[in-house]
Amino acid sequence: MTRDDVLAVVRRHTLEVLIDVDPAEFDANRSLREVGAKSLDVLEIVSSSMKSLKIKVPRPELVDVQTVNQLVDVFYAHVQKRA
Amino acid sequence: MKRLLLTGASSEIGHAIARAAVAADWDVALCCHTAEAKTAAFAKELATVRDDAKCRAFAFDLRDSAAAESAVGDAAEFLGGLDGVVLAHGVTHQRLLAELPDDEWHSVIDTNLTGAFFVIRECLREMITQRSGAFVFVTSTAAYGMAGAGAYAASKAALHGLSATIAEEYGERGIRSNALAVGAVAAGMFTRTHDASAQRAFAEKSALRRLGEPQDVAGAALFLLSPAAQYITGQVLDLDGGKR
Repeated sequence: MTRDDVLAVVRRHTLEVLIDVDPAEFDANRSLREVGAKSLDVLEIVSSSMKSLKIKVPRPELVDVQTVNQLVDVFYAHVQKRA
Repeated sequence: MKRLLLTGASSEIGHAIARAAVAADWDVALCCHTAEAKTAAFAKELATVRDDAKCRAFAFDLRDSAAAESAVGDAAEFLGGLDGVVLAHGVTHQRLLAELPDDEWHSVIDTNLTGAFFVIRECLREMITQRSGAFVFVTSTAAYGMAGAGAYAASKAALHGLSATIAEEYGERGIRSNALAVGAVAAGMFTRTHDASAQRAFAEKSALRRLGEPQDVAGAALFLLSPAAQYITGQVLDLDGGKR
């Protein structure tokens, strides 16, 4: 699985949860909150993405994550570890 | 098939809940702390309740955050998700508050309250991905105050707050949470801490003139998990036989 594959999973779950976001305007350099996510939305996007990717990231590793790209980097590192 | 995670699965009340759940087409992850072999044997016994019952014991110390996270993850994977969680674990010490040592206070709070938090935190991460699920906290009427059981009473009252908070935070994602405040039930902790005469006194104080049975708790818990309770959340149901 490539980093782009991981990004695609996060993007898919983000757009499923944030139904008002225009897919054409999805910008991985922005934070989920900037895109319009509330705390519950972030929890759902993160949990659903981890489930789809079959990884479990310890909470402390997610504390400093700001942008979608940073989230994808953390997930991708765990996907590589799993492989 | 519906999928249930049950804590306190090695207790008499835990067994009654598991039996009722399996009979009602739930598969069950039986979570216990010390009685792994006994609970594993019980898991096999549940196959006599329903041939295709999928049940397994998961032994861990729920006061250990990492252990709880790992075990809940394993249980959810075993079941293929989580539709219900019943938290039926608990410990107590009988002592006046003024004489309650630090270690006994921490032991009760760590197990009954913090352990429940560690478990529900992981369950919520699982349930939010499916936007459904129900929690039932088996608490106690001791939550309203009980002489000689201050730490236990405080822990159970705190669980009412925890349950109501789940209801508030996750209701919009289809997740419900309720508490079952159990009165005098002729099982485990109650029979260990009350002699025959005290048990009779409790029975006489109830409108139904009897002690509760583990099956009474199981029936109410299964109701709160069921679609029949789909508009009930954030509530505390007193299961006390109609205390007078």
